[in-house]
Amino acid sequence: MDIAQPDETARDDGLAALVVRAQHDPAEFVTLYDLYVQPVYRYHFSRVGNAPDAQDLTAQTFLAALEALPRYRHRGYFAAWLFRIARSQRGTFFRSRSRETDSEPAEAAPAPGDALAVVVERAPLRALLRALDDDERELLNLRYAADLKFGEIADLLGRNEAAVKKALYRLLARLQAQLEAHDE
Amino acid sequence: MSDDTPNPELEDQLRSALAAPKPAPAFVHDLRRQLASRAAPSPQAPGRRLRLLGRLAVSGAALVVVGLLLIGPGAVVNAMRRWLGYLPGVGVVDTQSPLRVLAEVSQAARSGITLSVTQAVLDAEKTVLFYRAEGIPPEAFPRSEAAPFCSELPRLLLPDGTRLASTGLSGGGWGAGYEHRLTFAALPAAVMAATLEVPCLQDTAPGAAPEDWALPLRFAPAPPDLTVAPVIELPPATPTVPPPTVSGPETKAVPTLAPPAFGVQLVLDQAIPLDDGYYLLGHTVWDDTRLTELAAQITTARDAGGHAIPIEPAYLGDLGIDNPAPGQWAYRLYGQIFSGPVTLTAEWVGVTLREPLRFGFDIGPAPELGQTWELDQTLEVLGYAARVESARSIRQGDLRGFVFTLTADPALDGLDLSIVTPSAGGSSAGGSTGDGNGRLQSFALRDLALSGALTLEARTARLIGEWTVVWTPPAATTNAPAPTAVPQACLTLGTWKQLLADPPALPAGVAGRVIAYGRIVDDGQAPSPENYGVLVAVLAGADRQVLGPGVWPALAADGRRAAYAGQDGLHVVNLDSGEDRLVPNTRPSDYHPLWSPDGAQLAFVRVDDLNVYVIAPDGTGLRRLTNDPAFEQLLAWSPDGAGLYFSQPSADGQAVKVLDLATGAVTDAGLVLQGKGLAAALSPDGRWLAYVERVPGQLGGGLYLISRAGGAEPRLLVQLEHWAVTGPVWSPDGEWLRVGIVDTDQFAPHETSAILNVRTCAAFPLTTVEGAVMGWAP
Repeated sequence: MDIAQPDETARDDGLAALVVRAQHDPAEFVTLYDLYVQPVYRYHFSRVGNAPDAQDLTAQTFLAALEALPRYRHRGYFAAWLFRIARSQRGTFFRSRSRETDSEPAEAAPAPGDALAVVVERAPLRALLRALDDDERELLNLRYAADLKFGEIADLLGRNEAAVKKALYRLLARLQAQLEAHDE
Repeated sequence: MSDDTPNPELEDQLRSALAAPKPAPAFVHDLRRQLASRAAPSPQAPGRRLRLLGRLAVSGAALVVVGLLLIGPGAVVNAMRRWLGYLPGVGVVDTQSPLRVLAEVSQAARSGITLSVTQAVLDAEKTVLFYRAEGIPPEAFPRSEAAPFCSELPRLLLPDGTRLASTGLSGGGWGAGYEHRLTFAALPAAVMAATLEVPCLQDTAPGAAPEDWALPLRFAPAPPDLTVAPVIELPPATPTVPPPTVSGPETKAVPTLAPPAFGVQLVLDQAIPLDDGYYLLGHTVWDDTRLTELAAQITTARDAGGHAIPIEPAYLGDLGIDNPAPGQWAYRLYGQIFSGPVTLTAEWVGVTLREPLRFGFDIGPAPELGQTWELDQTLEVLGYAARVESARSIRQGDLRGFVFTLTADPALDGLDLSIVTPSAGGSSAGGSTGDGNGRLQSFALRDLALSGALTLEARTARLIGEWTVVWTPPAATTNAPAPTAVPQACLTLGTWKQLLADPPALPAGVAGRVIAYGRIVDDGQAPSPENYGVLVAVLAGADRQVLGPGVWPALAADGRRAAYAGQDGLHVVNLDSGEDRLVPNTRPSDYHPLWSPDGAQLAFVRVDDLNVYVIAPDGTGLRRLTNDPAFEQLLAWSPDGAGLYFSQPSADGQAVKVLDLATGAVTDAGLVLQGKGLAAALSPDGRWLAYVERVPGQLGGGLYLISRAGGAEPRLLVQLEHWAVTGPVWSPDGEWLRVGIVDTDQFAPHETSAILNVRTCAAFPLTTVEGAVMGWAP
C-alpha cells in the first residue's frame, strides 16, 4: 500500500477563494467549518481528554472565528489563524475551570484495529508524553493531533519554519532514545 | 535516527497515542446548524430587552399568581419547585434570592476610545455583565495575521482583593467596536461594588491602544418593575397523539420508524413566554444498548389544525445555560396564538454505534480520479439492511477520497463512512445524505494519496422516523379566532423541486447575458479552483464564453466588458476581442469589483485594509473611499453613478450606507440587515432592494423585496426551508430577479439559479449555468 505525503510547501491558495467568499457571505463559513472541525476537535481533545469539554472548546473556537472572520487578512495560513483562536479559547477555558496547570495529555482510546499487544506497547510512550513540558506537548499536539503543516505551526507560534522542524525532530529523537532505553 | 529526519514509525505511534475519537455526529451537525443560523443572527443583540407578555414584578406572590393563570392549579406545585425567571439578553436567572443590577452605566474614555459597562445582573448563581468598546481606530489592529493580538479576557476585582476570571463570553464586534456578554461566578450577597479590569481591547495589537482599563461598578437591588418572564415548569409528558395529517405537495412518505424505537422519548421541561413566541426547553431520553450516543432533532411544530408553526433550535448559551445537562435542548417557537395543542416532531435521530461496521475493497495501485468500483457489499445497521453498491473516487480541495452509493431501508437516511486503513495521519472529512427513499450517498476523504486495499468503517448513522411530544400552550393563547400569521413565500421548496424535475422554458423576453463564478471544467468533481472560474453565458441558449480562473466577476452595463479578481489583482476583459488585462495598481487581495453605470470606474474592496476603493479600468485614478477597521461590503452604484451603496457592520447588524463620491460624505440608507454578510441587490432604477435575511423558524434564509421609498413591509419572495438562498441579481429591465439556490442536502452542494418575476412571482430554473451568477446585462 502506497501512501504519499501531501506537499508541505504548497500554500493553501485554494482556500483563499473560500475564505473571501465566507467573509462576504458568512453562510459559506460552514464550508470552512466542514474542513476544520475534526482537526480543531482533535486538538482540543488531546489537551482536555474528554468529549464534553472538547465539544465546548470546539464550539467556542468556531463561534469566535465566525465573529472575527471579517477582520481576517488572508496570507496563506488560515489554519494558523484558526488555531490561534483555538489556543486562546483553551486559555479562557482553563482559567474558567480555575486550574493552575494544563491538563495531562489525553489517555486516548486505542486506535481502531489495535490489538491488545499494541495497546500495551504504547504505555511507555504515553508516560513519556506526560513528562514533557507545555511547549513540547503543544508542538506534538499541533503536528500529530491537529495535523498542521510545518508552515502553519511556524506561523502560529511566530517562529521560523526551519526552527520548528528542527525542534520537532530533536524532540522525536529524544523520545526515541528514551523508548529504546526503556526497552533495554 | 538523526535530528534532521523524522522516524515514521514513531510518528505513527504518536498519532495513535494522541488520537482522539471522532466528534459525535450530532454535535458536529448541531454546531454546523448553529453557525449557519448565527451567520444570520437573531434580531436580539445582547442587552436588548424583548417586549414581554405582560409585565411581571419580581416577587414571589406575583409569580405564584402568574403560575395559576398560565398553568392551572394542578400544576402549580411543579411550577413552584424552581423559582426561575428569564431576562432577555441575560438568560435564566434565579429569582429565589433578590436580584442585583448595575446602579448606573460605568464609562471611561482614553485616546478617543470609550469603554462602557452598560448592564449587569447578579443572582445567586452567576454574575452577567455587558460591556462595550467603541471608537477603536484602524491603526490599533495588527496588520498581518502572524502578528500577536489581544485575546486576554477582562477580570472582576472584588473589594476584598479577589479576582474572578470570566466563565463565559459571547457577543460580537463591528470593526471599530464590540459588545460582549461576560459571565462570572456569583458574588457574595453583601457585595455591592466591584471593578471590571480590562487588560487590553480585543484583537488590538500590543501597545497600539490604551491598555489596563479599570471600570468601577456599583450594584443596587433590582427595581420592583424589572421585567422578568416566568420560566414555566411543564407537567410530565402526556400520552402522544398521532400528529395531524397534512395533505398537499409537501407531505412526506410515511417513515418506517416510530416510538418506541431506541426507547426515544422527547421530554418537555420548561416554557418561557416571549412577546412573539416561546422558548421551549426539554431533553431527550433513550435506551438502546447497541448505541453509545443518540440525539434527536425537532424539525416541525404543528397546531391542532395541522398548520406549521415556525420553530428553530435555540442556543442554550443565549438562555444563560452555560452547563447544559446531557441531552438538554431548547427551541424557539414563533407565534403567540395557536389552534389547540402543539405537536413537536423530531423527524430524525443521529446515533453512534457501539460496534462499528466495516468493509473493505482494493482500489489498485494507481486509481484515477473519477474511477468507479462496483462493490455489492451488505451491511446490517441496527436491523436495517444497507447495500454499498459502488464507490467513485473524488477530490475536494486538498482532500482525496470516495463517494459511495448505497441502497438501504428507507428508515436509514445517512451512514457516515471513514477510511480507517490506512490509519497513519491525515486530515479527514466525511458525511452522508439520503433522499428519504433509501438511496444514500456517503463520502469519505483524507489528505493522502490512496492506493491498494482500503478499510472503511461506519460508526455513525441517521435514521428517520417520527417522535413527538405535545405541548399545551397557556389557555389564554389557544383557540383564539385566528392563529398567529406565518409569513409565506411565493416560491417554496416543494414548488422549486417540482420545477427542477420538469423545468419549463424561459419565457420570451427574458434574455441577455449573465456572468458567473461557476463550473468551467466538467470533471464531475466537487467545486474547487481547479474546475470553477469565470464564464459568461447567454441566458436562453447554450452559448458560453469561459474567461478562465478568477473570482468575483462583474459585467459592465453594456455587456461588452467584464471584470474579476485574479490571483495577481483585478482584471478587465474585452468580451468582443477576448483581451484580458491586469488592472495596474491593483493587488492580489483586491476583490469584488463593481462597474460604475457609465463603465468608467471600478469600485472594489481591498482586503489589506478592508476599505473601499475606486479605480479606472486602465489603473489610473486609484482613490480610497473609506478609512476604518470595519469590513465594508459593496452593494451597488446608484443609478446616476454619483453614489456607492455599501454595508458596514454595526452593533445592530449590517447598516446600509451611501457614499457621495464627489464629497465623500456617508449617509445612512435607512436599512439595517441582520445577517453578518450582505446578499443584496439594488434594482436598476434604484427604487427596490432585494436582500437575503433570516426567516424565523427556518434554517435557510429568505429573499425579501422592499421599497426604498419606505413605509411598506418587506415582501418574502423565496424561502426554501433549510436550503440556502443567496446572491440576488436584477435583470437589466428590473422585472426579474436571479436568486442563487444551494441544495444543502447534497454532499458537495453547488449553487444553481432561479429566475423570478418580481410582480407575478413566476419562477424558472436557469439550467445552463452552474455557479454563482453575479451580473446580468442585455
